[in-house]
Amino acid sequence: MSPSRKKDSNDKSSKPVRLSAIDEDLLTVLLGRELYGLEILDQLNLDRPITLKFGSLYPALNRLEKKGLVTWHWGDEVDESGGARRKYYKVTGLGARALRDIQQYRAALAQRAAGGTSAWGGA
Amino acid sequence: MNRATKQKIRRLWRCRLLMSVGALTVAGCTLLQVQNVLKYRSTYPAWSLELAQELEILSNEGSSNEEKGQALLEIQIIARQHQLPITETIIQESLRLSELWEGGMDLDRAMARVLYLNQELEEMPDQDQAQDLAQELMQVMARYRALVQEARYLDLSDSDRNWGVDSVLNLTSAHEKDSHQKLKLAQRVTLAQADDLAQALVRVINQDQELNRALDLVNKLDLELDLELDWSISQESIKALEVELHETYGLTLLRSDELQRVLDHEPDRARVFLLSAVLLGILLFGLASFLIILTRTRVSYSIPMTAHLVAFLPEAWVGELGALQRRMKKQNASVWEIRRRLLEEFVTLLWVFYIQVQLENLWLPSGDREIDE
Repeated sequence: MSPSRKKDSNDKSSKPVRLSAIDEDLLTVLLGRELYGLEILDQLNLDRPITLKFGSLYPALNRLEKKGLVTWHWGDEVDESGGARRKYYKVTGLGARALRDIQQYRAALAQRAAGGTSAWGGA
Repeated sequence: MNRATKQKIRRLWRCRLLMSVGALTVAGCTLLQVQNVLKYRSTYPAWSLELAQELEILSNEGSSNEEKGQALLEIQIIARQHQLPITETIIQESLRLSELWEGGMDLDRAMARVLYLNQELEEMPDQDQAQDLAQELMQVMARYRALVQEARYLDLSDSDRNWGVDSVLNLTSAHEKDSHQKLKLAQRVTLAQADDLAQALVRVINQDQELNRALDLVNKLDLELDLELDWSISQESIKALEVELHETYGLTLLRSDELQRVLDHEPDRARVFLLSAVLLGILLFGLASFLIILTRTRVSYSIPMTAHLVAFLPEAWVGELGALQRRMKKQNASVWEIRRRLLEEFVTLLWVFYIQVQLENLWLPSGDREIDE
């Protein structure tokens, strides 16, 4: 079972969450679905200039999990890897809100940048 | 994979890790101990030290002739046992004199014997008189032969004159009897005389021969002493021994101070060598034990190799590596490519889990820090 962080979530809801680029990409990929590590990499590495590997993925997932932005549960498969299960990750409400906030900021930033350019006479 | 299995695997690998570290440590100590043993092993075999000691006795002017003789014999034995032909030849030359020692005929006693024999000869007929004795003996033997012939003649005359007058016959018989008896007596005396003469002659000849032998021996001893070959061994001979020893066994012949130093330190060296060897044996035994325990530790049931990674990484990460392996197999990647990729990921994930994540967790909100939860 995924760990519960109710104690931390109340604190986190008011504070802005610091997200790196990879964190933001992970939240974007996981939004609305549950994926395991290899699937996440498959989604991220489509048309990505620099390929991500497990060494970059897991620290990011660890950060997001510790911040309460993603949660996970064990998969049910028992496969050839001797019964080693995989974790399936999904975005929490806090994570969705944080992603929305950052996306709104980027949209506003892009809009200001576009409006500012026209005010100054175009590019 | 349930918790018990994971714990079992982790316990197994923890044990193997400890055994490996122990084995490596013991192996390192064993190597150091081997160096110690090699350092304190004897570079000079016991027989070479003994050879050097015997040569020192020969070279030492203060050694008695008995000690030198014994030293020569010991060196000869060593040379024979260890195939040193040049050494053996040199020693045999020196040992010629030992035969005289064994015969008990040293110079003093040889001279005493000569004097005694000379004295006896002075009391007896000399060399020239041996010839006179021989001549006299021949004359006596000739007389004896003449007596025998006369006796035969008388016998024949007696048989020829059988037909004579009784009284004349009686007188003739008595005369003939008397002549026979005198002849017999003369024969006996002559024989006894001849026997005495013969014995005297033999004695003279024997004494003379013995005297000559004793004189020869004295001359020989005197000559040897004049040449000063006695019991000492020349420097050239010692040099020849050194060269032969070096070329045959690669050993250096120790002399004087160096020999004494080696002999003084020999008991300590032997003791340290023995202790080092015992310690090396114990370490080897320990190393073998570690290796045996290492090979015998295994899980009671068989699990895939990938599953063993659970001992080092979280289960989820191991599951991902398994999924990666299966995907690469489906993509027909080569075995070596799969292994290389998995090894690369495994090493990276070790760094990530044990270093990077642990460091980042210091600044993140606290949570469960166990490997899987």
